[in-house]
Amino acid sequence: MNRQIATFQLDDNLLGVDILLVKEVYRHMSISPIPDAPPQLKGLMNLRGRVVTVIDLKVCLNRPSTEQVDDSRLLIFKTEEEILGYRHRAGLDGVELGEDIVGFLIDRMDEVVTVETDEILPPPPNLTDIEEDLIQGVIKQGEHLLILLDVTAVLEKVMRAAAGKKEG
Amino acid sequence: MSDFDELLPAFIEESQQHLQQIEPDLLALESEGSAPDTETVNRIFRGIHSIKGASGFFGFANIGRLSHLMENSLALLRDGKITLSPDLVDALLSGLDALKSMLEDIVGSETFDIETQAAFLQRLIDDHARDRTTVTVSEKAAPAGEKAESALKKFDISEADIRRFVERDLFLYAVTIFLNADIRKKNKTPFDFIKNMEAGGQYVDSFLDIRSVTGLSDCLENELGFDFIFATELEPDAVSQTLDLPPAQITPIDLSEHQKEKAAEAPQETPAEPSEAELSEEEQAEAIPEAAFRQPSAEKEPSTASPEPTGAERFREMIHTEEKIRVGVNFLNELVNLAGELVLGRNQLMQTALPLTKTAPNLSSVLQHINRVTSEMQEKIMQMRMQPLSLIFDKFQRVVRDLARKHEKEVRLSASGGDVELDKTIIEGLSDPLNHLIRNAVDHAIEPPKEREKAGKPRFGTIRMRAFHQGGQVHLSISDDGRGIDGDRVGEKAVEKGVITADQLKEMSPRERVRLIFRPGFSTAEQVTDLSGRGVGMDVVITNIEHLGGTVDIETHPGNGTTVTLILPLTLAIISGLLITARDHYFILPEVDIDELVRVKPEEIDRRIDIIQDAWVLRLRETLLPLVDLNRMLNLGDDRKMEDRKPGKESQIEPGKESAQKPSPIPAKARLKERNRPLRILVIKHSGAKYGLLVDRIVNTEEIVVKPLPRYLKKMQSFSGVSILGNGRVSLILDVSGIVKKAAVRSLESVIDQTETEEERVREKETQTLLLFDNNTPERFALPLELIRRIEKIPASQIETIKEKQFLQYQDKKLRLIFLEDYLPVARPERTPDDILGIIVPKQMKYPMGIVFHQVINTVAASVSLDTETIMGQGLFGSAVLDGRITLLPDIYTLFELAAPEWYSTKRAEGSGPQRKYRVLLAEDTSFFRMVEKEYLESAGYEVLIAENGAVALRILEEETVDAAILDIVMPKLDGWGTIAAIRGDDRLKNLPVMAVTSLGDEGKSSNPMRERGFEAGFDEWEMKLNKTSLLEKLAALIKGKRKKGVLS
Repeated sequence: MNRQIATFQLDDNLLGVDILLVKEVYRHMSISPIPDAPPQLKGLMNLRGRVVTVIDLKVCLNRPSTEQVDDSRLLIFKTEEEILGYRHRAGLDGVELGEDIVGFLIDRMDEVVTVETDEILPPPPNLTDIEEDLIQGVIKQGEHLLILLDVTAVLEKVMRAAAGKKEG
Repeated sequence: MSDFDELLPAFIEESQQHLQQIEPDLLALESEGSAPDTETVNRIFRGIHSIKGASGFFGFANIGRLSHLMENSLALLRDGKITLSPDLVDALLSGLDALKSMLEDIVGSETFDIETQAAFLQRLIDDHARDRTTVTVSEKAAPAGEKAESALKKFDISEADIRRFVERDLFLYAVTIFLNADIRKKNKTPFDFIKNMEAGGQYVDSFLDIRSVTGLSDCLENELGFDFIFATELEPDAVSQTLDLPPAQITPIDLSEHQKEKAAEAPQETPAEPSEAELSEEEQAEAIPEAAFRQPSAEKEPSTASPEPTGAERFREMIHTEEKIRVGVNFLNELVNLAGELVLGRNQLMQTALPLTKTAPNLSSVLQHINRVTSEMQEKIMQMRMQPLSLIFDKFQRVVRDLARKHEKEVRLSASGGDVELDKTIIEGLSDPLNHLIRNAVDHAIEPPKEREKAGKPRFGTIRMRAFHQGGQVHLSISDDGRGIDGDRVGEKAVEKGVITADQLKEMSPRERVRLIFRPGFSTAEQVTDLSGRGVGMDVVITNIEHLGGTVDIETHPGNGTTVTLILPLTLAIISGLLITARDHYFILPEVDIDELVRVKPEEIDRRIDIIQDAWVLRLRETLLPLVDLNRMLNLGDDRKMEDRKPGKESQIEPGKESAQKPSPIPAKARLKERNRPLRILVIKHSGAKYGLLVDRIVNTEEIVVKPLPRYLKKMQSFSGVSILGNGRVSLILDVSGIVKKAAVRSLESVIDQTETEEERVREKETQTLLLFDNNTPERFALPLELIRRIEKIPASQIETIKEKQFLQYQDKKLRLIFLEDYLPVARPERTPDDILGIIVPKQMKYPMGIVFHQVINTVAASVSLDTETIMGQGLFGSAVLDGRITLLPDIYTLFELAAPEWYSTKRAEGSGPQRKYRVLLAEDTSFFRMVEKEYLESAGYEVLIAENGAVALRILEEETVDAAILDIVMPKLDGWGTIAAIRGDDRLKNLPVMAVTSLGDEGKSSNPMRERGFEAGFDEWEMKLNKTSLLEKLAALIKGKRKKGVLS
């Protein structure tokens, strides 16, 4: 059993998500900010007539927010409906993307790597500043370590932040 | 069974439709009392009858049995054998419910327990029926050779039925049909077949043809046969033709024995038999073509009466039914979404392509065409989702009846406006809130009959549901004549339940106390039945309605009843919105929520913005409104600091815990002034609350497609949806009710209410009547009716073009026509020579001119608050919110000047004397004219003093020196006649040049009695409203003349 992982750069890290979850990568964004929203929510964008919620991945990973949006890329995910067909694939059970289209702000895309499922290892403790429950696993890529993100967990974190904002 | 797969859904759907019709009919019957309407009984009967028949096709014995019993009891009712008792209605209703349940779960229908209902009905039938005995009839022996070997089929039929058939000389046939060959292959539904059958006669009963199952081995593929007993006056071959069946499947039934009986009785009975009604039906029957209904046979007696209702009627009904196809809701929703996308694409296309139209000459018309087709298509698609309110209205008759019976009350429900249509989503969403409101009304509002009589009311309470269109929205009111709501007791209860504090209650107005019933937590735990009026689950009502984009108003009069009004949008998907900015963010505000636009100049801030109990309010025509700053609200404006709270005042107001934690949405007054530009305030009206929303800029209006909020934003109170603008950017739609909650302006309402009641008394309502029209573009226009002489409708082909100018032959003159789009910053409509155009001919024209428009929308009487800043351009007075929409007010005289500069040459600076500007007093009660005349005068260089009426004018004249005065005649407090009398009676003022500017008197005529009267009263000049050139010329001449006489220094 192998999986294909779309990898990308964020600050000094090499991160990855399952390629089956990715809709497309977008640049030249025109983002409308959302006032009074938590910093994780960077804004909204028009993707060919559909509204994309733009998420500042750096904030989700406890880093300073993305300042230069113009230099960033947007990694756009499929919706719940669009991944229905892949539900049975390895590593995709339990993925919840919701009905809305979301995109992660990233620095730049890297290559797509094919890995065997047993190459994906549990994350070593205190690996990075990234919270452990946002990481699905790590993959050794030569001397680098590819961190496989748990997209569902990241989205849930955003949801919590948005709900918490109201009470605070 | 494959046959069933296709036919079953049709059966269920049609049966449900029948049931839907039957219930209101039954309730209507009951309300009519002892003499049931025959037509209604027959309609119910036919509905049940059809269900019974069709259920036979599928072998649904339970449905068949129950509907058979219901049919029998209805037959007894129809024949006057039993009366319509509440028990009978109960029995029928419960039968109806059982049928509904069985249809909903058709697979389980055979195991559904119908014994209670069946027994109930059977008892009623047994009690009253004397002759429901059955007899067995058999098929006539077939001619030798055809079916000789087969045994004759036998059927049990009620004796009474047989007797009736024989009396009417009907033939009885056993008709065998095969589901596959006769129904499915011919693309029919079982109902079609039954309808068809009923059109030619009367279907009596159906039997599963057991013999065909066991005996006919050649009939494979589940080809089940059904035998129907069919009573008709048609001969066998006509039957075969009518039913579209092979003759072999139709066998006459031998009625010879019964006919003999009849023959014996005939001399006594037959002559008396046909009633008047039947005779007239017979006449109708004669009108049908011979071929369809051949008279059966020679030996027929002349006294034949046709079955009821006649085949002729049925056939006509069938012919006139529009052809329809069924479309799934999902499919429709997809279409709606696509239409939304198309509108969006259209908007973007228009914005991108519009600049190119100058270089590409044909582009403009192509764009207009796409524009129009898109709008029309979208409208039609939205219409497909529209459903009449009667869909939900009808079910409440039942709810009210059952509840009233349960509570031993007498309640009548009347509904009007059931034909008003709303989007399917809204109709569905209305069901629960309405249910709450109606139940509450019956439970709590309507008193028991005795109590009502004591109070001098009729025994029966009345609940009215009324729906109507108003201002692009649907108003749905539910009123009762019950107890009404005691606001004080509601308040006490709310304090008891901890919804509010006692201090908060003290601050509340009666109206606000009543609205407490909408607060969550007020009535969720226990029913507030001891409270008068309503109160159960009202928070559910308001939540649901607001979810639909609607608002709820409540008005109550203790002792006399309560009216709850739901104000609903027609559709959810596309709205007209106002695009505004706060900082550099764009937001959409739904136009329906905007009451008016207000502009406060920097120098007016002191006068118009007040602090009341630590909160900011806007003074608007002698009323006070809470003011919310959008920037602060959304935490956008860091440069405007909160004003320090004044400790002394804080104790008077209880903003509640939550609002104490939130930043105050009100910026400091000084900061407001520092901006040094006018404040833009939108007056928002929502759910009975009204407040001012301070925004940075108003951009324009846009038709937008509402998209749901992404789930990440749902918890934020400030937004209700998102949309994509014409420029492609995503914009958030502001939730006006969420903003109120977030800003916690509630606590202000009481303050406002108190002030309002005092000030309302001194408030003068200055309304004027305006004609609303459009130019076949989304923009709306309005003109004061006072300025309009005539409105004409002409075909566009009558317009003549001479030297690029358009003229119309009108009353022997050439009327110059002005097209709004040529001079105003508005969209250009598509014009074709086939158009029918409207022409507005204004009053008071030196040169005949007319304005071309598309159609009149309405006339409204409104107090116009003219906004001269938001949308401005040459030829516009400005804009105003009228009828819930932003409306442009064209300045017709400037338009004419623009169109025909050769006719109008206004001399500038005639308002200046040798050393200084001339000063003119203008007394005019209508703010619109006041504003316009002032502008005319100032443009000519005059200094203008303003008075709202004659009394104010005199006061000003006492203190100020002016060079001339202009008076309106019709004014409140002191009119023009009174004012001129006072002026001429004052030594100091008796030589002041005074001019009347009025709409009184006949224009254009040299002899004008009103004008004569004006001169007698002391006016120096009499001018009709409103001709800029003439006004200025006459005023200049007046001042000049007096100067020459040396009256003025």
